[in-house]
Amino acid sequence: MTTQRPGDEAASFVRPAGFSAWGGGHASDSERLRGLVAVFLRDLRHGLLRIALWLAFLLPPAGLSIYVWVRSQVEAFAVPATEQAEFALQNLGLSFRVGLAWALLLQAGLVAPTIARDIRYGALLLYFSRPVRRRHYLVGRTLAGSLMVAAGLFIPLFILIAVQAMALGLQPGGGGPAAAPWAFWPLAMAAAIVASALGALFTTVVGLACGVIARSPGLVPLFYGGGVLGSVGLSWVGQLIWKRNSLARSVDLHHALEAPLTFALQLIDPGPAPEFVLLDAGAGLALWVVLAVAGWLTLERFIADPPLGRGRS
Amino acid sequence: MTPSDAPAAVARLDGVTKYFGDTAALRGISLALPHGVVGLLGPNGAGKSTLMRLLLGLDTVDSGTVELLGWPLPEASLQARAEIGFMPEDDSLFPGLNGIEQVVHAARLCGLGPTDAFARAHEMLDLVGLSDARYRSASGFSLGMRQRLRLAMALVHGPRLVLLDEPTSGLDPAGRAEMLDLIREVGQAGTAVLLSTHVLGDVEEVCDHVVLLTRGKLGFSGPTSRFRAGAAGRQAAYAVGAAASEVGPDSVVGPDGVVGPDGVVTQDGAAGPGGGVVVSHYVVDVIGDAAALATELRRTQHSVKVDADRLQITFPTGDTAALWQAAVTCGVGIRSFRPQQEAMADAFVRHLRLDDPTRRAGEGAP
Repeated sequence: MTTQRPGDEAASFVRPAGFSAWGGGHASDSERLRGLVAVFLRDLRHGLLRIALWLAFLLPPAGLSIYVWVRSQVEAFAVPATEQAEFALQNLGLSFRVGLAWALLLQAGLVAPTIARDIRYGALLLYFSRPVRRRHYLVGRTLAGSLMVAAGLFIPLFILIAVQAMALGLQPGGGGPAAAPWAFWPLAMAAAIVASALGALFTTVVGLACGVIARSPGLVPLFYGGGVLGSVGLSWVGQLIWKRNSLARSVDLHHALEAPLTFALQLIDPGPAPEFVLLDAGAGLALWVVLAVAGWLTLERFIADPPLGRGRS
Repeated sequence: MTPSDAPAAVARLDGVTKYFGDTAALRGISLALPHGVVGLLGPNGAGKSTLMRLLLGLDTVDSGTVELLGWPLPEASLQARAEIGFMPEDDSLFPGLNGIEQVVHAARLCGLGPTDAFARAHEMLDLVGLSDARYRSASGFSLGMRQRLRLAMALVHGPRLVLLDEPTSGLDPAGRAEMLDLIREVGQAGTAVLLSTHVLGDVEEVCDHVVLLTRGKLGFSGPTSRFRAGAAGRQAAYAVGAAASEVGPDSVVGPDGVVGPDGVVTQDGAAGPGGGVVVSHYVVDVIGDAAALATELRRTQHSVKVDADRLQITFPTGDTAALWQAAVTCGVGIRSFRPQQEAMADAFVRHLRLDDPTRRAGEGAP
């Protein structure tokens, strides 16, 4: 009969096999980058505000969808057939504008502080002491943030496009390329994708750069949000002084982000847009391009000599 | 790029110099790190962290060459890092993840697929004794648990070399003992370990080999036993052998307790616990009147401590012939004769003094 001391079982459960070297395979460089993006995306989904933020993204298009449905079904509020295309594109523009506001909040609260958090918790040392290229880390963080925000911008637009297509019909009119049969909604969809991707990319790069500059995860939302709100205030003051001056308007970073969709929708249906709208969009787009390039250079400079110091868990 | 064939040493440094501004962190270090568990010692600012960072490819040398697991650095640092594990001294963890996610993340970064990463992460958490805490947020872990978690993260991809920076720092005695057990186990499994620490006892317990850095220079590199005993082994070997052949009394028994056919001690002291190195302190077990032998030795200017039948004798010149002469004079037998193991702390200080001319000069000053 064998006897077993109390606790032996537990010990063998805790350490069943001892240390053995890993004999399996390892992923390639590109697979590792994909894995990095997947992990960074997962990291973002861990944010406490995620449910509230997703609801915030989805509620406005849900409301707009109901509005569109009512305008198409209730005769008293019906949109004239000749104005349906313009009505549909205006709704997309409005939804995108609201989405951008939430995207900026999402950036400030979740995406922008990620690198700052890695600095605070000493995680950069954990990344760079493993076979992770510094450029891959940066690209991974940017792609993960961009994908997250792009999804947040595009999904509401997608819902709205689907609802409008059902409510207004597959060809609600429109000029230019959108006048071709079956072309209107696919083109609107393409415009939504491009605008969402650009908006997400610009805001992510600038957000991450803000995180690198501010360093403290708690300060990043204030830094980023403060910058956006400051630009809105500056724009208002400029418009009050120079009366709807396009340059003053485009200083508003939120407004400037609408530029990609404005341009895309103009290409689909070149309606009689006021000249200042295109001027606004051009200046806004230029402003974000400049900010994004400056942000990327800041990130590149940071990653060349990152702080690999003491962490705090 | 491919590594050089079957590297005999885990890492090779040749004339490595690294400056930070005007300060030399490493000065002309040439070193081959052997397989096994190697302790990296040195006072603060000696260059230990710089050496670790060079091996991790986080810094580049100003002159000289570094080769890790056959990969030249920094050109192939990515390939080299895929084969090493690193446990930092800093309290670093991936933010916002629980225990298992931390280890899975570390495994994924090292190129394991999702399924393999999960399986291996569970295995490693079992190994370090964090099975019950795997789904708890790592930010709530105690320091000891975080240290073990970091070890699991360093080992998860099955590295050929693990760099451990102060792994027992801040641990209580039980936690330290567990950590050292794990390190020993990893070393026994064939994984090379470089253990950077200030805790000399850690090195004494688990390391086969010691590398000492002092002020950016290589102070010592060799087996742990040799580090402790010092550099006079050849002298001791000569002294014992010579003393035995000169004295050769029937009652004298050599260091291993063997008496030669003509009563002459034939065993060479070089094979003793000192590992063939210099020792001037010996422990002698006496058959007969130990006090009389002590008195005789003191008469010839030797320092002797008596503890029943055991004497601790210091031979100022390393020449042990006087012992055998005194034993014959007093008519006592020697049951055993072995170099006294120098404490790690004493050896550490001695090596630092050897390297520091100002300290050596100061020793003679009043």
